[in-house]
Amino acid sequence: MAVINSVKKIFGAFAKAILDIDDTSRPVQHLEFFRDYSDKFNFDTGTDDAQKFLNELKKKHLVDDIVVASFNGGAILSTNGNSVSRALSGAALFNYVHSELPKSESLMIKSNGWHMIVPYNKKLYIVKATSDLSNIELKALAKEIESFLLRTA
Amino acid sequence: MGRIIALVSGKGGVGKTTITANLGIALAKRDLNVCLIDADIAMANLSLILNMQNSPITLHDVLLGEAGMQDAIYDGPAGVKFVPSGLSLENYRRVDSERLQTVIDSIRNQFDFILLDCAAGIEKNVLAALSASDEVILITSPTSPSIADVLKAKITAQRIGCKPIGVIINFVREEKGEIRKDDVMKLLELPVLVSVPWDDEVRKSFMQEHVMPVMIRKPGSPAAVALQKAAAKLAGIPVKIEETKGSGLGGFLNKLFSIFKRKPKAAEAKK
Repeated sequence: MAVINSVKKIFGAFAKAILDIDDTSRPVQHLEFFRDYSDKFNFDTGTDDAQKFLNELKKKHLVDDIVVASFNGGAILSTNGNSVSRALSGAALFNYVHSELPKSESLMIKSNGWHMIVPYNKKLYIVKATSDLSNIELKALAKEIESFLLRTA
Repeated sequence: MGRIIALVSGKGGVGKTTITANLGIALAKRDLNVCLIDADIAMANLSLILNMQNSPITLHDVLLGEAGMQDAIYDGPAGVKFVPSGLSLENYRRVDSERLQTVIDSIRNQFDFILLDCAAGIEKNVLAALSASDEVILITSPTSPSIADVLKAKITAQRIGCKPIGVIINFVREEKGEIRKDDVMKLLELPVLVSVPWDDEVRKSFMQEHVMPVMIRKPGSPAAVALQKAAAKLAGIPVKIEETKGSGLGGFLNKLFSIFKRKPKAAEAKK
């Protein structure tokens, strides 16, 4: 069988070369485009600098703002300047909804973009983005910040 | 503890489901405990490839909380276990795919490998499957549209925290214009587990009265051999190629002589 396959391959290659059946060529422009595209998605999240880490995370998860808060409204980490007010209002909002709907896993509000709040390991992650993220994406983001906090503690 | 691996491509039609089925069977044939899960909750068809479309309890029932995961595990070909997805559109709308992680974790210890056949795209159900997996294998064909989509699938997997471990290039015809293995490796920054050649035997496997994966019907065919190599690489065991029964010169001569051995139908009827 192996001999027959080899003979077939040789004849196939010969026929292609002589009869010019294979008129294809590598899409070099596409490959260059993919290379450029791929380069945009290299993120350095290994840094110990909180601001740098959060900014990389913003790019990676395609979000505009991230605030990490405690359930009583204290700001822990933030990508913007007004983290105190956002942490307070985010915690108040989530605590209110959670008191009415105790099984709430996340809060999503559409208002000039999306405001999303997800609890993870005794902290609240308040995220603003132009499009909505799924619960899974929000948890993945929270998990990444959590491991950063553990690493740099 | 078993390895949970999602098979994703981004683009549809690159042979994800066929590769999942045959890769799983190749692993099971090497005495590994393998479970195949149809994580394509909306457009399930792994059951068709395995010819197990009549399974009464499905992943839909499990995700809806109407059945236990153990009740949805069926015996598939060559010792592989299989969890089908339902075909009901109504149940698809009701299913909470985010429960996938909990459900799959509950059977992790029973298997060496759990392979998840994911949907095309990078939507909610794919994210759920990725988040339920530890690792991901990317499937692509050697053409630009497929590479563009698999690149996005890889970025999405990384975003979710699922580790890409390699690429399988399917439908390789060795044409000049195909994107080469080296290019795929450089672009995706991942090893290519195997290049699966275009093989008509895979297509013919669907065209049987009793549909049978190529790994069962023709294990010596080029695509099946390639996937046996990928399975060995994945499991870290030596490659052991299984030949198709009745193939090679011996098989040919047997078939030829069997023509002469055949008794005329009339003579058989008299008996």
